[in-house]
Amino acid sequence: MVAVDKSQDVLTVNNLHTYFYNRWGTVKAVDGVSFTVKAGETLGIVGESGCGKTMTASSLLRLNPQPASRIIEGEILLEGQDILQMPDHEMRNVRGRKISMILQDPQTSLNPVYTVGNQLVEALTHRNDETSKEKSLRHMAEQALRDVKVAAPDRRLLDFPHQMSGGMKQRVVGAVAMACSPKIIIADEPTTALDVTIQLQYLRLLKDIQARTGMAIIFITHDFGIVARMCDRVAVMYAGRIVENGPVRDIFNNPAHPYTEALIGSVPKLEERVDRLYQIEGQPPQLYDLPVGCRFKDRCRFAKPVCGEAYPAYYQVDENHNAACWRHDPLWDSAPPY
Amino acid sequence: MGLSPPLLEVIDLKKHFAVTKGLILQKTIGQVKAVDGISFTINEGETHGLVGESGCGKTTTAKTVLRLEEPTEGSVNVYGKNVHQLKGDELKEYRATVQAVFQDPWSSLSPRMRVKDLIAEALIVNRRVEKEEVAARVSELLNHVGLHPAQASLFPHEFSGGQRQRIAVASGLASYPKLILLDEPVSALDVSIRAQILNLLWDLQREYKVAYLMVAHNLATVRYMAQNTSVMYLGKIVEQGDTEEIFSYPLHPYTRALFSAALSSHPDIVRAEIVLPGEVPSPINPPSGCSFHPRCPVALSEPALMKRCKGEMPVLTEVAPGHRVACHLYSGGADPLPAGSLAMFKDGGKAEAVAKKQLDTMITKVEVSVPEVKVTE
Repeated sequence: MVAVDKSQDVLTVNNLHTYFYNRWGTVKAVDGVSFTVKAGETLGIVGESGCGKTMTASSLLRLNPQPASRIIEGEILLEGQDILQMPDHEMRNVRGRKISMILQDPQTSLNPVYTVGNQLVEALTHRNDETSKEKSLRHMAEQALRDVKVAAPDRRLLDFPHQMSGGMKQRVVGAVAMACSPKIIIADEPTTALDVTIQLQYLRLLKDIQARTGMAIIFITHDFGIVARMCDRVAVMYAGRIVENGPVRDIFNNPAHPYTEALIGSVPKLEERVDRLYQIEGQPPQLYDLPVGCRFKDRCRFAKPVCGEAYPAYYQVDENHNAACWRHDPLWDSAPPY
Repeated sequence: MGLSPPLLEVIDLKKHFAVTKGLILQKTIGQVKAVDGISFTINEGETHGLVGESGCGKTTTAKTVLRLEEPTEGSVNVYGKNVHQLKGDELKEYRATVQAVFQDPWSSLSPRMRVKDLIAEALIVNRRVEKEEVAARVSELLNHVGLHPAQASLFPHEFSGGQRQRIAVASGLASYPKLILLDEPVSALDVSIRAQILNLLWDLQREYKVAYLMVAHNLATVRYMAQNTSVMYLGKIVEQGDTEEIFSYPLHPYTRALFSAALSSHPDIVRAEIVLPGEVPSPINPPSGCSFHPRCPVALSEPALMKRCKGEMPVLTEVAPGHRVACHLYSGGADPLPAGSLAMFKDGGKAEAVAKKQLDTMITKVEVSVPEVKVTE
């Protein structure tokens, strides 16, 4: 167990904008996103596909596709230092050592022509500390596999990815990501490709490792079940922006944004049979053709003309809980309806 | 009984695939028992859910019902007729009666066909219809699935994922079917769109009295849609019955583990999590006896029971009205529950609470004694 000061901010993102420029115009994939991650904390970023969650994650590592997209504004403070201002060679030291990433599909994140041991050793050579000088890389690779609870790690090191099952491969990906003991792990839907019983094994493993090492996790997902199981705080994204941000219990008990509320209500529950699922009408807007004002207004059952006038500010609804919705404005009740 | 035969009857269905070696002189070196003796019935207007992890044989079952695979043994009967022996007009009739909606609307709709042709195809091929009738039917269907008839001459790429799945549903409905196979109908769609499609399927069922065979790995979806559920593990049905009954009182250790692994919908709902050791074994060499025994938390903790589970294959037995389980825990002999406690589940009284508590302590006790995630192959 590592004692972690839980009040310390590891990562602060301020007003991040990542835009794509293509023949349809400007695709505002990330359009003014701000959040903070504290040490040892798990932040969940929830949203539908195309809402910008993966682009946010890859921008944090400056791995957004280039030159197609550009980070045009904002700052990403890692322990107080803005990584957007770093030269490329310094950025290389951040990736893997400070911030690391686990992707969705273990099949494509491992190289099929190298053994698992080879790929682990490659990651471990970037580790630049005391232990790496004392012990042999092979020994460390074995330990890394043992840490992610792979049985018989000495033999497994010689396996190729295709000889392993999906859950096992995702463990190896986890071991590679954690090889340099990063401060933050970004997990981009790591269990989507896994079966439910294997998913639970994996989530528990991540929690165990987090408790042991004190790393922060940014969990990107569309599954509220995973959020409920894993996260301390939640940021809900819609059309490139965070619409609500708060502690996990507050989000589930008093969702302050209509989108969050609708999204939670539209998921079938295992605990009880509901008579009818709440249904969000319509589709999310295209990111190159965003409406003026609130981006959810066309699908929102509370919408008033004021929603189309300007994008709402973040209103504080509770301690550490805010939402970008006009309904929390003091003048909302007096605003004229449609 | 003068009752007409049920809509769909699957009787002791087996589908084994040969594993071969060599290029020219192929030798069979093993059998993959994808589906190994399953039975279930679907009546008109009903939904039957088929759940299980990947590789448990759900999709093979669906394919065999659709006549895309020949069964090794057993039969699939639609209105009492074995579908694998149908010929001529009867075969045509069957094809119009049984339709399917697949998981991924990006690959299930031909990108070169207009929406109206996609929807009309099943109708023109399977039913004798006039041209005017086809056009009328297409716009009627588009209306029913929530699309505009004016969109009939567009191509699939002009629609979003949810709309495409609506088109797939419309084309499934075109030939006035009695049974539609839904193979993971919403798992490729966005979260906010899933509810739209599930509600649509629900409404269409009420309106047309069509039955669904729903293959899904999402348990909550099955609870929302299905009246009856079968839980599959390695090609066999381990638990079967009324959905509400199974979800309220899961009995088979695998079902319990599967349900506990499904994440709860609120952070304050904390369930006892049963973490199964290892992964699903290969269906080429399934374990002897009960195929779940190497991972079963109950059997692992009780050596006496384990002996029986290893040696003897449990059969699906009825333990409560409409609730069948294939597990030695409930088939007499090693029964750890007081006699009759399971039958009293329906009472809703004390007996139910007692029996449920006993099951819970049994499982929690077991959970403690199972070592942490141990991965072996």
